[in-house]
Amino acid sequence: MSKKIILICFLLFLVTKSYAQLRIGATTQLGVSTINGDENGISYNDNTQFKFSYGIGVVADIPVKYWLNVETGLVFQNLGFSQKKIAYTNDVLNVHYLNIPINARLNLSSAAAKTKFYFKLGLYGSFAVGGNVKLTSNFAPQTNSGQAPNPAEIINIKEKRKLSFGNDPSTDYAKRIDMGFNIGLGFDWKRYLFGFNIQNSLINIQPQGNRGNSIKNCAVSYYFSYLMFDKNIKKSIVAE
Amino acid sequence: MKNLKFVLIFLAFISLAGSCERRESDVIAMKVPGDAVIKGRITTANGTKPAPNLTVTVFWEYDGIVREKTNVKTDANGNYSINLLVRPEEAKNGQFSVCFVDAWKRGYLYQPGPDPEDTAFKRFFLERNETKIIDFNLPQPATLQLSLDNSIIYNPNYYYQLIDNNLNYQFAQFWYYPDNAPNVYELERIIPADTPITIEAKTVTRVFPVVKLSSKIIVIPAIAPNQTLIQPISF
Repeated sequence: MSKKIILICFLLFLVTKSYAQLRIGATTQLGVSTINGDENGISYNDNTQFKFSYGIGVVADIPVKYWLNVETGLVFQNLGFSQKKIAYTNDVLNVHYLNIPINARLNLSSAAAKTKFYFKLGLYGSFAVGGNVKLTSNFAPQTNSGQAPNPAEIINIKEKRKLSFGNDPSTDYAKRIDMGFNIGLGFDWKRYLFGFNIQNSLINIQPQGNRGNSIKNCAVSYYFSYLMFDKNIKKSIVAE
Repeated sequence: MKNLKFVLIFLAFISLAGSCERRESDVIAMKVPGDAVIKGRITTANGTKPAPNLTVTVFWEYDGIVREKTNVKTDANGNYSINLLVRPEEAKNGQFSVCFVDAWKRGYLYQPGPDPEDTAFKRFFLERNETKIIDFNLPQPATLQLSLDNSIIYNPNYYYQLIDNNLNYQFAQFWYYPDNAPNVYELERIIPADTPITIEAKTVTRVFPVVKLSSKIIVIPAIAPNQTLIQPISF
């Protein structure tokens, strides 16, 4: 099913490409991310919280009609989650993805408006290129006499461990491929695009990937894109 | 006066809340390559049959904290292996334990409970880079009905005590006072199947000034899983 959707999007992309010129630019994303799901009866929703996330990459924008743009690109994203505070520890899990979105941008303003507000909806495919976990422990060792540890002797230990990806639930964090949907609002002003975007997995990336064992990425981010070569295209679209 | 009552209830609640344990789940530990290995084989019927698809859960306990570390299922041969992240504070403080939280639901004689105190069968210290092998036999349940001699039960000068010498199980030790329950003449307990059990029955005759103690050792033969054995006891 998901393969069909990607194929349709790709064909849509090819069709639109034949009608319009490509606008290319740079994009950055800042926001928060977490995961949903559960594993062996332990809920991720209850035990994780949002962490800071970011993305940087290139964006391609194709004006099709004055009310429709198709947007794609290649973005390096940092997603993951933060573990809800448990005693003595503070942990953050980071996953680095190469993300390819394909979004339809529906312009809500008139064709002549200088600042165009838009609503966007689309799909994305992501490939995990790596990941790590940052573990922080703050604790005081137990005394030999069994007395309560001395708070003055608190030890702070930081560690970083690599994550592995694949289909083995005993060793791998998640599958490499993630696919999902994008939904967002924003505005297009001159060569700049501003807005916020919500992305969420549609497929289960847990290595076993069955009912009762699921992981789905979720991210909310603000983005800022700078587009080039847009002047001539805008005129031609308005002229239509 | 009414306010004072509420204040006292509130203070009592606070003091109880303070003494409660704190449960937490270490979800990162489920997703990170670990340092230590806990592995073994879970069997039933005195180690002759594997216990497949059973959830093996690892907890860490320290200073009122009960932290669920991770859980795995046993394979078709009852084997399990856990690659566990041992945090620095866990290696230095507290103890780990292995529990079977769904054993009772799967037909094994193992009492589940909200607290790992009820279910842990082994507590151990675990260092980083250490491998711990923990095998365990989980018997299936059988029912033992003790049919007691009426003359003992209805005689207030006797008391009757039954001791199960197999103390591995929470159900195993029990006492019976006919004075407190004079109409009960059969005692039913769940015991491990496929295992002979020894019971010591005692009576005390109190006819002032003489106190006479009699005891009897009864060997209960192995009972098949989910079967009931009626055992008469008399002196």
